[in-house]
Amino acid sequence: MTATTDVLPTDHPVELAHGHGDGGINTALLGMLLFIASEIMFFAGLFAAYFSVRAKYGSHWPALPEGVEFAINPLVIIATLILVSSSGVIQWGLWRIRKGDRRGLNRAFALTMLMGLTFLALQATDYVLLADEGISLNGSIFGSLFFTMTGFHGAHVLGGVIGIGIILSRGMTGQFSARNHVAVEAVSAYWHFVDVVWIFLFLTLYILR
Amino acid sequence: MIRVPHRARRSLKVFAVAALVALVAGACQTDSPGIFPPAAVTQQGTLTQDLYTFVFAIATAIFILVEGLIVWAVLRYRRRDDRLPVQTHGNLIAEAAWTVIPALIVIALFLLSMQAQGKIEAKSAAPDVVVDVVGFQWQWTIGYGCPDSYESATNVQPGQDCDFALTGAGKQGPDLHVPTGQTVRFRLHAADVIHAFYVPRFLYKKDVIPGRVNSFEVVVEQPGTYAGQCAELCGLGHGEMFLSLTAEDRGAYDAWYAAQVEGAKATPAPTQAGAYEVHISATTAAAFDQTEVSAPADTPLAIVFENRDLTVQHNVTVLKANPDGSDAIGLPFAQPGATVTYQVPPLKAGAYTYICTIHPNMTGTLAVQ
Amino acid sequence: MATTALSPRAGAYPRSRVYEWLTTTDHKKIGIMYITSAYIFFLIGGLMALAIRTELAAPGTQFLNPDIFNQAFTMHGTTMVFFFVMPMLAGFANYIVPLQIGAADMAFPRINALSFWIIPVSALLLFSSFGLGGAAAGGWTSYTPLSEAKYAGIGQDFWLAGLLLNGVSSILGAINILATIFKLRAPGLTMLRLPIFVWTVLVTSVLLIFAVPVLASGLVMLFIDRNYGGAFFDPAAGGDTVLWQHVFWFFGHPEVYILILPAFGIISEVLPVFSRKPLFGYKAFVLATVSIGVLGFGVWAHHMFTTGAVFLPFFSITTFLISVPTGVKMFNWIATMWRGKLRFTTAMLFAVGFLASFLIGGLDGAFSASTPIDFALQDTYWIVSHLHYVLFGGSAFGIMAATYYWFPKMTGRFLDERLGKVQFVIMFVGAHLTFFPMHLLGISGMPRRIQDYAPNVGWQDLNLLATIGSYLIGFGTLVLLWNMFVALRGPRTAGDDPWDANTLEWATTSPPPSYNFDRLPEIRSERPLFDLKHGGAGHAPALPSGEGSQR
Repeated sequence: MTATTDVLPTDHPVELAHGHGDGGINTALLGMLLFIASEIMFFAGLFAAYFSVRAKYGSHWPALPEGVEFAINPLVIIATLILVSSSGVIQWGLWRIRKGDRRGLNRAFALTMLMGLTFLALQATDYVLLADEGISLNGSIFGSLFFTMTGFHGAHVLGGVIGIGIILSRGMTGQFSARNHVAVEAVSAYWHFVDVVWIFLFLTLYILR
Repeated sequence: MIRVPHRARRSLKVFAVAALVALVAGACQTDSPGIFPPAAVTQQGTLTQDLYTFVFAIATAIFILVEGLIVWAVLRYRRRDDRLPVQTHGNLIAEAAWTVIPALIVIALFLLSMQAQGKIEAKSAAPDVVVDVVGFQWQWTIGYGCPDSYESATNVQPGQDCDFALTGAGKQGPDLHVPTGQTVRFRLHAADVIHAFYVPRFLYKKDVIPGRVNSFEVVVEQPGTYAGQCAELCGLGHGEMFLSLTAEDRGAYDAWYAAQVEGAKATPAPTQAGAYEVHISATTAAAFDQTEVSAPADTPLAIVFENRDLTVQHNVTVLKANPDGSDAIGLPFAQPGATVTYQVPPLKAGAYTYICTIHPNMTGTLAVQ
Repeated sequence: MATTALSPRAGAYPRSRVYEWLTTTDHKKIGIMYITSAYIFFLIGGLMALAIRTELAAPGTQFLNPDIFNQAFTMHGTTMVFFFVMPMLAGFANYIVPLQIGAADMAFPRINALSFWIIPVSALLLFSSFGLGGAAAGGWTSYTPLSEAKYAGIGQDFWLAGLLLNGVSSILGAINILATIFKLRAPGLTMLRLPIFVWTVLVTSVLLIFAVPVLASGLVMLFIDRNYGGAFFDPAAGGDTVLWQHVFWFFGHPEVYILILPAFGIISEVLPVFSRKPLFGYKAFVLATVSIGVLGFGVWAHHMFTTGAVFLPFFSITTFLISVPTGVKMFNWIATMWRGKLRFTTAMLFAVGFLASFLIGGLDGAFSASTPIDFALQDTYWIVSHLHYVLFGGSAFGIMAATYYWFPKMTGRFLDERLGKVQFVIMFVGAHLTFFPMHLLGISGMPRRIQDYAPNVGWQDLNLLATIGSYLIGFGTLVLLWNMFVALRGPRTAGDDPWDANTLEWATTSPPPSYNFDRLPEIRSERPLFDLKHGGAGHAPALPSGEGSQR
């Protein structure tokens, strides 16, 4: 070990050895995709529980108490439309920053955040209405599954909203560029995941039932 | 350079193998546990036993081959010089062989297993005898002559619906009787948590699961009495949840059955005149409602036990209360919601512990003065 | 060319060693912390095992009443799985994988630190239950309804919370490893030149990402059942109690491959080095590892054959078939030794001991795969024997091999080889003495998880043997601890490559500098250092043949 540290010559550009993983997907984005994979498996466990219980009940499903009905609230349809379109909005924002348009990014992410919060508000309203109708976490197995699955999804929406908020605050302080915006890629991927999970939830819990 | 004690290591390997062989050989006696299961007493168990023997033979052959190769390699290929050995990377033929041959062996074992499984799990259209087993923490209730609804009913009360119900006297649990040479169907009902009905001599067990009724059938060929116990962790008393099963010819079985029916109809003995009443009750399986009661000495006692627990049976057993020092076991068990009076002989002064036989954590002190 | 010499001590300011270790993001220090804490939990779990074995040595209740006994085996299993084997293997993976792929650190060093520090916090949650009303007592498998609120106290909630947190650590670690392996490999290091240890860690990480979240969903559902009136697993409320078993074992079976695959990888590092031959059938080995990973998701219900609630033929055939890639590995390992020049260092002894023991554990599996045989053996001591053969004779022996093999790299010192051999002999004999008799006990009808047994059924001799064996294992552990204690106080005598090994971690100092490598050899095969020394894969040898070991 030498006492002095050799330093690369300052009048030559720094040459980095190319590792075998260079090129291809950005490391942080890969990390986010792997994280999303693990989250998909978490929801998969809940979906598996849902379908297995539903199969066991057969034609008696949803096994709600006497006199209790489960019907789609129009609010939920609105919420779904908002969340699905928010994916389009966030994707547009991503495309803009890939072209270096930070203002487009900020606008898109602000709008997405608003849409996400609206979804949560509508979801909360739906919860209250369902509770009034007698469907609750501890009232029936359907209630347990419904509220657990949508509840955890809502928590993930909230997490996504926080992530979008961070992107927004960084974007508004001028931090992203066409070459440097991997956090935007990662948060967008996460938001799409949250949206896709909702589509499956909506189809399973509200349509298929 | 650190010297490697080859000889010590080699002799230890030999010792280990020899010890295993000795263990196996010595354990092939019929009484003490051996490497083979105890002789099966049912038709179905015999199929399992034969399958086990076959798998054992193959496993032993593979074991000897592979362990032999390991020991041989270890002895033969010790480093003797510093030259590099031939750097073989692989051999397609060898690798194909040791992929395909084991695959064929396991597929064959699978097919044999499925064949046996089909026979073991088969259910006949009309079994000769149906026995309903209720597993609860921590005892068994056995119902005979129960209604057909028990085929799928999960909440059952054999004491009420069946010809008779057995719970057994104390820790050893009930003694079921079945006829030899006939098809006996066991239907399993769980009252609380998952249990498992296991009779080692059947070479068979089946889980007892709340919310579903499992069933299986056996034809017992060998008369005798066989022990059984719960084989799925079910709480504190899991290790004490015993039962015994007696297989006898149809004639003896019928006589036993009739005696049980009679016993179920019999009225309980009247309370001894002059007996001192002690009142004990229980609302849960966690504890008696009273942990201290008192009674006068040298007086016959009548323990009036009210089981306020609506989910499980209890009793009151006074330890060391009999003249010979044995426990005065409270029989019959008090069904949920029922009241039963237990006679206890006159006691000398002192402190006596009483427990519930099924739930030994329910204890109290009977102070006799 | 103008050069500037930096001030030699730039960036080196005094900081306490404790602060250094508490805040480090260096994968090597984190790896050492994982390994150290895992050994501590090995001792804790081991003491529980000794308590259990002491109670079972003779009929009658000696000192553990059923309540404490049930907590003891529950926490023994939970501790050994989640706080000994998993973090230990994570620790070795953390330390070795970046080195073996020629990287400077993991892809996400700060998340790496977080993953480690979650472990002691989750342990605190779990173990505090002992003092707060009693730990979970439903077995490490926590079947419902026994683990529902009606039958299990608050210890069960601590268990659920502790494992949820522990799972987060595993998932983050797996993400980190995969990103590292995919993105940070040195030039020339194609996927099919990865050391086998890296391959096994890769597949293990994929299994973690797919399996642990499913456990998390189950833990969450049970928590909701217990605390918010949920009805997932409560049959009285309309739930399905077997559902718990499905969700748990969908995690639980890949979990056992998570516990063993890195140990397979360790053996696959040690055997070639001490046989002086390459691993036989590298590509087949990779394929077998991936097959085990995939097939491992298709066998879970073989833990549930006696429930009467699963489709038996499917799970039986998949269980039988998974023995094939495992057998391929066994033959590959033996073929690696075959015609080699074997050096019986302690690491090699444990590797060979692994082969001998894992074979038995694996053959046990062939019995249980047959459903009729499983009907007889399930929930008896046969299963206890099988699981300990693969987890102790397998994973733990692999961990011992890794410890002796990589200790010089991590600390610059050797563990004493004579003490190591003594430890091996004691542990090998102890392991077989403890676990082999359990086969016989199980076959003759002794169920598992019972606190006592009758004196007249002939089980006490074998139980006594098993207890003696367990004390031998304990004694062997003391020998290991003594060995480590003495070695760490000695001077650093290990050079870069004390074993004359094959892979990149030996191409730097022992221990490596914080940035790992000053320079890397050219990588043209899975044995870059071997090629450098002995002229493999188109190289002319850089050093005379036989040199490279600096003992």
